[in-house]
Amino acid sequence: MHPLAHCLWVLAVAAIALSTRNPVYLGVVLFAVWLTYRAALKAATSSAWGSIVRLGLWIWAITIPFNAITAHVGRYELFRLPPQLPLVGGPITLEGILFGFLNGLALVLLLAAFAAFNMMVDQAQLLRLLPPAFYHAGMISSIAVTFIPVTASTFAEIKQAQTLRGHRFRGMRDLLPIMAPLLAGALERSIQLSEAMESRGYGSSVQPLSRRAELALQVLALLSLLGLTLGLFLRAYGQTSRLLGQLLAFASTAALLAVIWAQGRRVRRTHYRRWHWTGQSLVLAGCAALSLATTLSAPLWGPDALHYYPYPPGSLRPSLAWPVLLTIIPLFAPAILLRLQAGHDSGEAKTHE
Amino acid sequence: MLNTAILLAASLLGLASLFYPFALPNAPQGLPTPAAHSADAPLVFIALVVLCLAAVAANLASRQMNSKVIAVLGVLTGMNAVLRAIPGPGGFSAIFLLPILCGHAYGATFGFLLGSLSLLVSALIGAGVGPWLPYQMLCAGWVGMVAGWLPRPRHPKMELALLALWGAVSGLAFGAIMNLWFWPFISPPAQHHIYWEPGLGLLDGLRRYALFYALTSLWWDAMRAAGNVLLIALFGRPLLQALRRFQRRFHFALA
Repeated sequence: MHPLAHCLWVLAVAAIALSTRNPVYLGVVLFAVWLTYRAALKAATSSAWGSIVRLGLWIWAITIPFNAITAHVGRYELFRLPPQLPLVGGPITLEGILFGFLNGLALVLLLAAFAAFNMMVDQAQLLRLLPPAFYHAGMISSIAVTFIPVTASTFAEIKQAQTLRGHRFRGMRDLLPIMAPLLAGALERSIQLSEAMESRGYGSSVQPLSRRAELALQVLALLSLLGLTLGLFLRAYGQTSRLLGQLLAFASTAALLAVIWAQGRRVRRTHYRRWHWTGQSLVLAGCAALSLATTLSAPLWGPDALHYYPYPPGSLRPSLAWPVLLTIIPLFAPAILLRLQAGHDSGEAKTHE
Repeated sequence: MLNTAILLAASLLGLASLFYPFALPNAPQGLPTPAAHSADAPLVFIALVVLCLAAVAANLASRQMNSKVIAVLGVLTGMNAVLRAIPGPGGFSAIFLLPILCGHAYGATFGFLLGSLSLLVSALIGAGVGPWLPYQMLCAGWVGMVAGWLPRPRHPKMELALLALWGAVSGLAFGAIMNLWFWPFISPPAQHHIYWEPGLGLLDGLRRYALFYALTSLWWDAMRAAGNVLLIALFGRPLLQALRRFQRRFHFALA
């Protein structure tokens, strides 16, 4: 499947986790993520769901007490901390504990969604999604990814050689006889690599730019970065210039994106293997886009649609809005698609037998 | 020159977007319904951090990024990702040793790229991609960048002490800034007006964050800071010498 479809899906889940604290919505989406994780689990890799659960318990061990001792509002008071304590003193309420739990639940949902995403997508392939503007950074990263196995085996070799020479590894201090040759070897290797790159005509896939054009692009990037910072400040702190700040921020962002686009246009890339937008990828991408659009436009179709507020004057009972179904149900798509695919594959295997 | 200015401006924007969640409660809110528009704020400020990194990455001038620089950065980034995978005591890993030393030896831009790209690479090989990644990349980049700005005293022991000090400071600061990525979950905007008082927005938010940091993360970060100091004290001198000797031999520079 196309990795962009998976990216859209994880973005849609993240948007839900960030924008609501409604326990029903969070719970159902977490269920969808769990189904996806189970479906994406390949036979070879062992499930890491247990570690996610353990991490979740840690998160709740932090979020629940922290919220309880800092939010002293609510109808259902459990007990009181002495009010002399700065910041933390005051009543401990059921609402505070509940909201702390929901904060943790949203964070767990986010972690689980990315765990499922990492399970579905081939990591090294993600590098290919990098836009052409980041040619140099992408190049450095691919070199690094390629050299990791070599470096790891060199590490083992050096350790073995030093052990043969009678070196014993007891503490951190004894690691220097590994570190120094490892670094020297890596630097040595980079000389060979750079010679190989030169001999294969490295850099010819980037169109040269006149000094003036390059200067203009860089100055524009600099100005738009400064403009965006200023715009944010005006938006957050300006009393009368809020709108101006917003406009400035938008204009600067547009200018920055234009610079990135212009830099990317200079790079010519060939693709030997392309990803195809298959029917399944399109279905997944469509579902994720629908969910994301509904979440982001939530304030338009009712001010309280995604909103959950247990403190007074709100109510502990979560309200349910029907349009939210549009954001939640599509998120089950990858679980269903992966199941279908797995069923199809096993059916095929049987006919082959 | 202009590259350094872009790096600085991007860092400024990065800092501003990191502190954005604290600025939120200052927005006027129709009590008692909390502002609905602030719900998507965390998304906005992750996007801003990504934009900072993109601005730096897109403006690396081709004239400077020759094959030598690319090769050295790539190989060192790979080595750093391997160092990160080696577990140390208390969740400590040696990820900052090379960015600090290389940033100091080869300059701020080199340090920034080495720090941020080695986190990207190690996330890609270790299935660690998530919303925390842009923050990690930005913060680790800063660790290498500031190491490049540190003065270079004549006396090698002074230099090493300075780098070790930066290792300690950056170990603590890295944790304090990294926790910000999930701060909107710990202290969601929907709840802000409970503690909201006029004019207290930023300060109050920072105070609550300081409490949270001291309760949860300080211990781990202290471990990391101590580990950095130890590594730089033990390995700093010979590795720094090796890096400098290599630069004299190989003649490359990244302004």
